[in-house]
Amino acid sequence: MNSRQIESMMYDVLKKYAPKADYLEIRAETTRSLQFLMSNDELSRLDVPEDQGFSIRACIRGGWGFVSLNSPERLSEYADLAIEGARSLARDRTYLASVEPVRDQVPLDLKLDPRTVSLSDKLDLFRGMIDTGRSVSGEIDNVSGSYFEEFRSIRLMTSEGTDVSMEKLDLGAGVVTQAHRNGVTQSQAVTAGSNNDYEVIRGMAARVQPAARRTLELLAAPRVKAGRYTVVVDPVLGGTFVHEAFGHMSEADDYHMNPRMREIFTLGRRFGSEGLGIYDTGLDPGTRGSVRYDDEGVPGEKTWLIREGILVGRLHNRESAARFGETPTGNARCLNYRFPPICRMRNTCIAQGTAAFDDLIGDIKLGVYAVDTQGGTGGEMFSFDAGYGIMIRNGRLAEMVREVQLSGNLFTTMKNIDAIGNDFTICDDQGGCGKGPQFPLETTVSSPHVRIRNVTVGGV
Amino acid sequence: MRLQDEMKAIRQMSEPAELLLSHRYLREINFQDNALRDVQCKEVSGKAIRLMHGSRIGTAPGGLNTPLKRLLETARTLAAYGRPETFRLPEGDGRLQEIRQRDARVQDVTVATARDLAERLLDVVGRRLPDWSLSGGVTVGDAVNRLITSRGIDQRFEERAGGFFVQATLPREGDILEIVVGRTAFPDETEFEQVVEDLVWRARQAETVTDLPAGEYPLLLHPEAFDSFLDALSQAVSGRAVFEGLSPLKDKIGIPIISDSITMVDDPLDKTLSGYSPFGDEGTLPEPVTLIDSGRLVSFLTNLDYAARLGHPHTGHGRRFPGILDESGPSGDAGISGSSWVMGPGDTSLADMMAGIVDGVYLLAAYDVWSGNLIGGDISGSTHLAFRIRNGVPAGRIKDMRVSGNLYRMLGDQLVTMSRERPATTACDLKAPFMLIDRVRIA
Repeated sequence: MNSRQIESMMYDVLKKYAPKADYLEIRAETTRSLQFLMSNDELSRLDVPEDQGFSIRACIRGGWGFVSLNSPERLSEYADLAIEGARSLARDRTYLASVEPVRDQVPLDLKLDPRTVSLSDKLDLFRGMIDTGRSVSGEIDNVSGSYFEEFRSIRLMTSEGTDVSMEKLDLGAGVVTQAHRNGVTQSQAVTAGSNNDYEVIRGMAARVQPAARRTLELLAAPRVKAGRYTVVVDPVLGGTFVHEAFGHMSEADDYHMNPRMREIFTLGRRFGSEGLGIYDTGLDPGTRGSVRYDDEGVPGEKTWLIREGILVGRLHNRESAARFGETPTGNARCLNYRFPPICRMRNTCIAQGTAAFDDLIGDIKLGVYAVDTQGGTGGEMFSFDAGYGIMIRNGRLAEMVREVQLSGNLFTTMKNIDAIGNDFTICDDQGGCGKGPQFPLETTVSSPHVRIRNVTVGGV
Repeated sequence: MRLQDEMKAIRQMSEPAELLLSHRYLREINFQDNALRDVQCKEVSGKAIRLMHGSRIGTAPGGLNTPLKRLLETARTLAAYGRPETFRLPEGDGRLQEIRQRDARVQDVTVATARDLAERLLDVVGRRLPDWSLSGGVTVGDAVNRLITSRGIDQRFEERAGGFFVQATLPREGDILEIVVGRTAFPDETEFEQVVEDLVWRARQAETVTDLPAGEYPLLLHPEAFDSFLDALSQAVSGRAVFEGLSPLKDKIGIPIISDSITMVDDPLDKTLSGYSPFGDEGTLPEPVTLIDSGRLVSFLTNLDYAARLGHPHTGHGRRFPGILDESGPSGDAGISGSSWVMGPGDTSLADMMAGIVDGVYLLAAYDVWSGNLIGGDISGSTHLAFRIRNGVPAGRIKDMRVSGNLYRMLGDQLVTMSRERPATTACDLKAPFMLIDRVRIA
């Protein structure tokens, strides 16, 4: 079935079923990807997966029905299921903030198109990076590389007249150097991500050798002594912190029907110090989290969440915006056609501050400088893992430490941010964000260096 | 080309080749903040090719509508870059091997009965926990996986299964308390009541918050939390990690690695657990594999590839089909993945274990467990739900707590005792007792 036939079927289904629902949307999606994994000399995985699928979402008096399918000839049959599901849960009324219907086409806008780089050249780049890592020392016993590029075409039509076609690229890569000595294994990662430029992948090469050296240093480094410290986090970890600790709590669909949670997150409440600003934006071109239109056809924007320490906004889809009486923010995103759009982050940022790095650490008698991230989880209680740490002693960076894990409570930790650096940095990598089964969704984090008092640091 | 013709074409190919077909149909009822929210119906289908071409391996996953010809071309093209052929595909007699597994509890489950369960959960738990907000979902899935090879293998596995979870939330100023329980299985009446009682007990105990000074404490470990710790062991027993020299267990076959009271079996044939997988996804027929026998390391887990590289017999743990309730398609190549892990019981009761704790911690769920040296057994995790135990009884929930240690030492000289009870976990892929572990670092 060609794209014209599919378009015609989508129109037919929309015309037939839209009158039966308060709201109906149909999505068609095709993807074609390239992905590979290398481990030392071996190309352990190489795939060019492709997929085509559809989803239909209907809302009737507040009840939702969602279907996804791979067979276009069954669109009508599944539309019936979506309508039936929505009708079976119909309650009082449908909550959807009004938006202007959008008719638009969003083509790719690429700097260096990865399709213009041959597979051989891509593999050679990774072989070269792996060789670089291994050449640092015989103790580097494994260097692995991973790469993906995914081209996605989306067509979104709604019963309100929105008809958007979007072409997207998602690009990411990582190189991990690993070494072990006397039963201790350590690793360090070099990562990159973009939605428009293969050059960022090439840019990883210069960072592999330092990562391999750091891996060896960590083998000899002590584990950080567990306790509570003043911690300075680098932009990567600052971004991870704001994503995990605060960003997830800003996703309004998690609590739009929960009166107590709404009370806790009342706009105007103080969440942090006066210097703290946090926003989430879809407007940074080139980042994996940039969103021209979200998956409900709402334009992406820059959404302030915290200004001068005060809660001023949250991340909405159309339903949560209506339930709060606020404006949609373009944060309705789905992992792919197999899932309904829900409130998700884009590029979540701690805004630029004024402090120089030396001033951030200058008055710390005993603290930890936590650098890079190896992941984390969020919510009211958050936890994330630094790539490595450096002890701060008497205002100066001292010895390297490993196993630096930061955890805490959102509310107290936000208030414990007492200084923000003047070195705002966008940090894109190949990872993704998870919410329920929808993992990994492409997002970006950005931050300057940030100082946080009284942080629980795991270790020995 | 119709699917039947594509299957025939694979059977007749001269080069070693496999065609994988996966078709699933999922129905979900989700609820949020004490009200039913949505109904979801999903067709999840896909197919994939793996072949040996020019003594190298090529793979190509695609959608069910992707023409076989294109997948074969892609796989042959990629084989030029692929890794060398290290193994031969198993041979079969061309006859269809078929297994149908329908959990009796989901035999007649429809969207309507799934909805009934969701409404019942909301009603029964809602009356017991009126101040709490309840969210969650009920899922039922049907799956048909098929593997056809040019070497005479034709395996078809048809499965129907279900699952559910409930998240109870009690938001308070500065403390958003969440309790999650569930099963990757559809509950019968007894299990429904057990899950409700478990949820209510946890919620009630968790309403009181207490402190715990940093230090070393006896840790009573629920199998649910133990499941999070097992990442360290599952990485270390993977044939791939052993082959690449990354596993600390690579030279320890036959050697004691943990307490002699522990025996651990990977059992793909236990129908009561969610890891049930009677076909090995590579045309093999898996059997239970004893990983650890009375504390001694017995075996690693392998697929065809790493079994050949290590010179070990393969254990049938090559995995390419996702779980029945998963939304992704089949993969072309086979990774190594365990099925259900079964650990023998201990000889004491949970009640006696708890009664013997003067001041300690009962850990029921961990958020994440991580360390830079996870494969070496070092673990550190923040807790999702943990209670302080004072003089044998729970004395409140501990917030913001981290547990750290080394898994092999925790299951070795720090292990005090294990329970006779082996309760179900949310993922339902582990059958293990409660464990009492001494001198665990809590921060």
